[in-house]
Amino acid sequence: MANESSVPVDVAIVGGGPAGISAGLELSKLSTLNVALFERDEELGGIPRSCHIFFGMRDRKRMYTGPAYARELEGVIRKTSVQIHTGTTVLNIVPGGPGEAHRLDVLSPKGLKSYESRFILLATGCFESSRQARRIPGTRPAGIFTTGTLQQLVNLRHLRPGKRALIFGSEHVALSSILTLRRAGVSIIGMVEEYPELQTYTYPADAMRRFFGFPIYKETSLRTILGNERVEGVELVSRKGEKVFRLDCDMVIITGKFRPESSLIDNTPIEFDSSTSGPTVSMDLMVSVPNIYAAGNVLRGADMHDLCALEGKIAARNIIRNWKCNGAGVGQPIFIRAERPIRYIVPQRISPSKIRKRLFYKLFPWPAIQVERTLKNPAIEAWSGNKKIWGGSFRRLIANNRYPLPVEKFDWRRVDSEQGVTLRIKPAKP
Amino acid sequence: MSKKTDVLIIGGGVAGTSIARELSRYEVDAILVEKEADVGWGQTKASWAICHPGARWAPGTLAQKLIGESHQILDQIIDELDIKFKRLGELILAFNEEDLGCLKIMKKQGERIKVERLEIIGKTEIKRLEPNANSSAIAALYMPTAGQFNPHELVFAFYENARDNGVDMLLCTEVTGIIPEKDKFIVETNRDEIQAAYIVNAAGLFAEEVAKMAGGVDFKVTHPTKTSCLILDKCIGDVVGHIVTGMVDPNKFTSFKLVMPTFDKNLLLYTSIPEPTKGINDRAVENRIFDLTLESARLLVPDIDFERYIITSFSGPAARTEHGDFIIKAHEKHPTFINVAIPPPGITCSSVIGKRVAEILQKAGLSLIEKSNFNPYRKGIKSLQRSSPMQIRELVRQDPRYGRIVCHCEKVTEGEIVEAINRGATTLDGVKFRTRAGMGRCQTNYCGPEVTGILARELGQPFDSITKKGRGSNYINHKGS
Repeated sequence: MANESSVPVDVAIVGGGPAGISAGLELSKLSTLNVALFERDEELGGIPRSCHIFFGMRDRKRMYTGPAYARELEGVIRKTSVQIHTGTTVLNIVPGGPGEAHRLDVLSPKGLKSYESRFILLATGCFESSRQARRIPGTRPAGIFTTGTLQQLVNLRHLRPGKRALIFGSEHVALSSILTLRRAGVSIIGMVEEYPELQTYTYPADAMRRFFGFPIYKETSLRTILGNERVEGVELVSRKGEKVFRLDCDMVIITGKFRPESSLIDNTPIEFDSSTSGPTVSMDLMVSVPNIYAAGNVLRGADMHDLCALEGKIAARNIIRNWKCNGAGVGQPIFIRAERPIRYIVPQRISPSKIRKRLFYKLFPWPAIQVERTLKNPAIEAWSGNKKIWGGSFRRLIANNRYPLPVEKFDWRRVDSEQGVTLRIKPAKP
Repeated sequence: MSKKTDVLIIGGGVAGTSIARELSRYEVDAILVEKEADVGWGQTKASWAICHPGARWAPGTLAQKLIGESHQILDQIIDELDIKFKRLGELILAFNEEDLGCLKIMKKQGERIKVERLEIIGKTEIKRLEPNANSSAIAALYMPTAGQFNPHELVFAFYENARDNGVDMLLCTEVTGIIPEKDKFIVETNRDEIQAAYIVNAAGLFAEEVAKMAGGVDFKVTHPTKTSCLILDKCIGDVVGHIVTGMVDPNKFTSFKLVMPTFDKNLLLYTSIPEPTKGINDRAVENRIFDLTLESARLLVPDIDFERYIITSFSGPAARTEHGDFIIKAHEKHPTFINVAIPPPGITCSSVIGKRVAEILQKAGLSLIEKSNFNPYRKGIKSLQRSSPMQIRELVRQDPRYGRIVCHCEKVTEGEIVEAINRGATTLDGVKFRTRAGMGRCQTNYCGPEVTGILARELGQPFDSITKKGRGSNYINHKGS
């Protein structure tokens, strides 16, 4: 897009959720930096605004509700020198050539503006996959929502969207949808999980099941959604014995299967990882284009808000380091990819020389993998071509959690940098 | 209460609205009734929006004749109605000698109606044009003139232009009975009774049913197959650059396969499921349908993991006539009752269907005197996505709501949504089909509540009365069971 006159800044942060704000806070410590933050919503805070439980534990060291956490973040960032632009959407990013600034075209009710920025941090978060993307069969009536939509309706608009809801999926976010539904006075007629194991921690799920009194149908799939205008019910089929049964409800809440909001990188040379649907990053969170960084759920939907916040902070520190030493050279990184059922590994580019000891893995697991579904006693192997460079096993990998990968134990000397590294799950012993 | 009119058009699909627009040229009283809350929600919605060059249809059919006529006025229609149109080109793949024989016949058929630049191409040329197409195809018919409309836009354009020129549009109005009298018909609906001297039955899938109401029917509208369509994410929209199709019998379209980039750069996979539908309202997408659609797409374009990019899916019965050709003729008992049943390529021919019907009406006695103040022009909704930076600046300066994005996946602004509502959208789907709000990756999960809120505000109705697609499909179920 042609620009009338573009506004120069040093760092442009795209996204005003936990990752973006935390990065802004960290960057504002260096007073010489001119930082701009763009948030497409009218208010800062991101997803926590519409959630309500257990926020801020690991980044702000105390417990908040979602909206209070969002307000707290907004309060602190507003006191800094960071220029905040809410209700402002970054339409596209045009990466500059070597040594040049990157351009961002930005739209708000005030008009269309261009910014020139030496550094960009993408902190655009993620969203839940739609019902169709998850191949859920049936008609197309009103009343099928994701948790995100449900929380917008209940927590931001204070509406009760229905009377009886079925929850599909059992990732962490399903627990959040249970609380939201109960808060709105909606009765829950059940929770459906396709796998034999719940995809979240068993204990809280079980406690909620007992407390609110609804059944959990494991190893059950949604055969069809019924109703032409509004949801009238669902047909479930249990794997064991192929039993088909019908439940009446007027809402189906589709939970989980997050996907990064990465549309900004769609028409750019920034490398895209089809396993995460987000950009690939190196160990310092830089994408494949110099001086553009990414942090938070845009790398891999979805993680806890506080981990995203910490990641934003780390990205900001890397930006400052890069700023000070004017683009430090990074050694030849090695590409690492994962095969199903491992969902992803992030970062995707690892520089063996930069691997440090397990310092704060517990707090911040990284480099880390996530699996597609909960696995018991999996054995993971890392291969480079036909050479096995590492093998190890885990007791249990829960679908939604990130698990640190002990990359320091990998035999990096045997890695063929052309071939990169591939992670596989060794088939279980009979 | 009873309404009186010269012509009553039953059905607000692309055929009905095109007829309405044609009649609005003349000093004729016309009413259009549509049972849904908006126009174009039947067969029109399910179309591929392809502008066929016409080689598929046999000489002598009405379809082929109208395709020829419609291409002559295509540029005029695009200009008058501000329709977006793109010439993509189509490749019909042949996998064996028999297919190749059909391609040769089609090429001849096409050349007879002067379709330009038809060419049968071999493996290397297919590879050059479509590197991802199935390499076991032995030949293909290349039709560079095949085009693509912006789906839904045609029907809204006809609708808005006809309405601006005085046609009375009654939505949510379902015909329940027709009583033929000596010189008129009494038409009962779920709302007012309508007296009409002439009736045009363009009820699509329900045309046979409507014709029966007036007694006697000499044509059949069947739905022998269910069709299904998957829309895939924009990030693989460039897997093919042309409309890539397989061989099909144009009379039945029972095993049609298609892969193409949509107007807005998504990828569309289409197939007809070769088994009977469960009924006229069978619109459920079953698991098996996903598999069959993916499988048939892989026959055309193998080696692509389509499944992980699905963003939405549709399925429904496809209306076909007995012999596969268009039916535009008077009812066997009533010369003033015109039946219109349009199987594919209805979208292609929509611009001339109206003219054809007007001629028949004139023969039946309707006097067509041209209006002096007919305005053939209609302007499309200004869209952020299709505007240059200069235009965007101007739009936002005039109305700051064009600077506020509501649907982030498709970059649709509040200004566009309000404009869609001003033009007649009353539902979420109505806004969606006019502006694309909610057609993107997240499928209304982000903007659904916001669009509902804007609808409620603009229409002055409470939030819980706003529906997804009319009739009881309330976005939130506040009351009810």
